[in-house]
Amino acid sequence: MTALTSLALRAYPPSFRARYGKELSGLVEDLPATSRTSIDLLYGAIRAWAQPPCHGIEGRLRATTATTWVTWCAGFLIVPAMNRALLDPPSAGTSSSVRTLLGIADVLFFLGWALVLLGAASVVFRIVVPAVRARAWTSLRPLMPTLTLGLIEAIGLLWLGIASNNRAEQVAHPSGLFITATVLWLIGFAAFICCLGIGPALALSRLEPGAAELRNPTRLTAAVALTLAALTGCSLAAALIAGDATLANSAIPVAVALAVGCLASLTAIVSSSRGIHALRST
Amino acid sequence: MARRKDDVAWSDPALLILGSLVSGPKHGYAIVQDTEDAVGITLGPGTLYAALARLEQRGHVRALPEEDRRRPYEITAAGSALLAQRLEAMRAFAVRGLTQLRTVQP
Repeated sequence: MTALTSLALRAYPPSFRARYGKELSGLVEDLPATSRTSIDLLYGAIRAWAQPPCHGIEGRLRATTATTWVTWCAGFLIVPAMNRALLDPPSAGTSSSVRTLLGIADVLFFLGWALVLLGAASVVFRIVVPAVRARAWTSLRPLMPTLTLGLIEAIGLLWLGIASNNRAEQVAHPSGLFITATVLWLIGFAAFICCLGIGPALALSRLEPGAAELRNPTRLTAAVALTLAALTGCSLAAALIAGDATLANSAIPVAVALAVGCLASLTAIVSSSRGIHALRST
Repeated sequence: MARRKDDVAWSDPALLILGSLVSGPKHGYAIVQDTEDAVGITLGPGTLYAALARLEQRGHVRALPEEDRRRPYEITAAGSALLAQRLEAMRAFAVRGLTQLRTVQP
């Protein structure tokens, strides 16, 4: 098996690999290792992400819950990114419309987190706690990197806060150690966000909860998807109104954040509508 | 993507899989071999499993117990009905096309 083939096999969604991974890699080993095989597998992996096969209502609800969680984790950062780009500090030309739109996006940000945490609480109490009691450690293992990095990041943030408070000059003229610690904290934060998105989704797939446990989180996915779409819309409108002059120094990061936000919103809306449709058929 | 030796494609992977399974349960490699022998089309592994997953999801094929990293699949009654429907449509198309060809090229 070539490295590209192996990479392509790993590119499939976890749910697909859990169901077909072993037999698919067995088939690949039986076939001649060619670049066409690798390309075919990569194409298959893209299609599997775009339209994951769902076995039964439970599969659909799991996919919707996991996808909405991942898209929220990918999309919510658009709000702090836009605030940083447009209002920290605001340029002379920043209009009141931009401030209003970003204010609405801030409100939607907190509303979205409230909805997400409500759904997460339901998942924790109805799925994760019983799994802990049943000592299903293998299924819960994907949560470990998130918890570990979350703890490290919290301690790091505390240390950075104390260091900058104790010495005011640390902020004005930061030392090499302070800059290094801040950069390391930011890298860790990026890794934490990735783990926060992927870990719980993977654990949910492994725990294989039933439709009854996923009913409430699936209902909330529609509200989360709409909130994400609305805050992305506000951010997009703010960026368009702000124009090139205001975004001169941060046009590329803003464009990336907006693209991620739009893609995440679209994916969340499609996935939640499929989940709601599956709920109605039960 | 299915690797076709012909210039004009006439079938999709799901139909080829159902056509292969109608003679009995087969695992992935056997389906690839059978399709290649029967119609000269080589199904790539990604294409095969994308189609198999859809067919299983819609209840047209059923997975049997795994045998040494190979899981055989069998066609269901719904899959057989779908295959019969598609083959009837293809036969009608083929008969009409051949008749018209005979009238144009005596």
